[in-house]
Amino acid sequence: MASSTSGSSSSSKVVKIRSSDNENFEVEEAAAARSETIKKLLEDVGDDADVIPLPNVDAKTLVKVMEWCKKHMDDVDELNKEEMKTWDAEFVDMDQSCLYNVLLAANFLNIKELLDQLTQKVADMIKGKSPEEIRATFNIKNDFTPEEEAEIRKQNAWAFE
Amino acid sequence: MEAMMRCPTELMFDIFSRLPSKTLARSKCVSKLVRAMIADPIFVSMHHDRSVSNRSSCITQFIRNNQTCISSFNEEFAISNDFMIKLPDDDNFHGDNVINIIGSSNGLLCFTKKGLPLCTYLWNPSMGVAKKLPHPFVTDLGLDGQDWSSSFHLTGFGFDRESDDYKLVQIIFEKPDRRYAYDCRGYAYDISRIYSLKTNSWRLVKSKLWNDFEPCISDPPTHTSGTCFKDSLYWVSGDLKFMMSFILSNDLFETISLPSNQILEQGKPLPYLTRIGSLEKSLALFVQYQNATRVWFLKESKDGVGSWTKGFDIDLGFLACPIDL
Repeated sequence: MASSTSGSSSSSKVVKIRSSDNENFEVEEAAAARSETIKKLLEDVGDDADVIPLPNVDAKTLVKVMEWCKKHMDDVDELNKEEMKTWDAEFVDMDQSCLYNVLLAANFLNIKELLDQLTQKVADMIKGKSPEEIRATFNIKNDFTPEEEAEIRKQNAWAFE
Repeated sequence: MEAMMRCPTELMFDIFSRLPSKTLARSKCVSKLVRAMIADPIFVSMHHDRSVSNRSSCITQFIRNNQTCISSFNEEFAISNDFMIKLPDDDNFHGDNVINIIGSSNGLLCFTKKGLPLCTYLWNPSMGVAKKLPHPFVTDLGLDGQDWSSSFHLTGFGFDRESDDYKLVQIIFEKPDRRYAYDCRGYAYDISRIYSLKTNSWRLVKSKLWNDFEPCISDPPTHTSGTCFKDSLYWVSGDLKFMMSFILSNDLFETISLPSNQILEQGKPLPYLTRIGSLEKSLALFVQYQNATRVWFLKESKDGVGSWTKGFDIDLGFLACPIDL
């Protein structure tokens, strides 16, 4: 992996992380540290760390998350802001099962900015959707009786116009 | 579509707090759990904070084609349906010209139903809950049993972050024995009453009102509503020379000059229709002229004295009351 251009010597350091399906990855520390969870683990184990196991994230998802972390490794200057926005928009444009896995991974790995982008993406997907579509999206079972549901719809009739 | 399952609660909160009110209202019949989440006070404040920070424009009540509409505007001042709200689904509140909007703050709308006795309501459009406020009984005020209900008063509704409370302020302007005094100068009683949502009760305040403040009286002259911005209520004076503010946390009055020369340079403002609102996180003055509404912004400077800068014109007919929901 090419060394980072930034001044600090530690930023080009490589850390090893392992997915739930036992695949190992080498990632630049500066990228991996975008995850507060990994950052904390690294601080705790210091240089003794061999491989950091991530039991909640599979290899396919981890590749996606690290792709984002590498892109967001350095602070973005004004010039690249627009370019980054486009990149981010394309990044979150993934199929639903992938989006769900990356969302959970970002939550577990505690990557706030990525989590923000993903929850906004899901919100945009369900914006304006019907209750049936929202149930389907989150796999939620309707536990209202037909009478109860009709009553709630009546009370909120304006929202169904 | 089977993928999204077992989403942790904190992620559901996060996702749903990004939805427009309309989708939220619809979501109430998704499941009992989702309905409970939408009613959770933590969720309500999260949703409100998010919708305010995501919005560069204001929500306004206006009259178009003889219908009262409440909606937000995007940057081009086109009407956006995302933040469209409806009043309670109660026949009492529907029909032509039945309610007066007093104001709105931090997610709640305050309005009165026209006609006597005057009843005031608070309405949470995201949750669809309305509350009728207790009547400020005259005897409670200790004012010798005088009936002040038809007195002219300045009124305003706002959220005070310091006490974490919603307050409705009424400044009583008229001597009890004078109905409909158009010239209120000299008639101010220096008495205000404040309703607090936390205690669900009214109390009296004796703060010195600005002596020369002559309110901008609307027709019918029952009340003039102020606007809440950053923990203070604001009213415009009738001569458009200054506005008076009432600080919700300490019950004090202050005054701020208006750009009266600039306002007159643009033409003759229509009487009684100047309003204060917040736009792009600044205090904004909406002045209604014959053919357009012009907006001025109060830009805060480092020494604490703000300066007014002219913004832009909007063309939407009659702007009634900027709303913060």
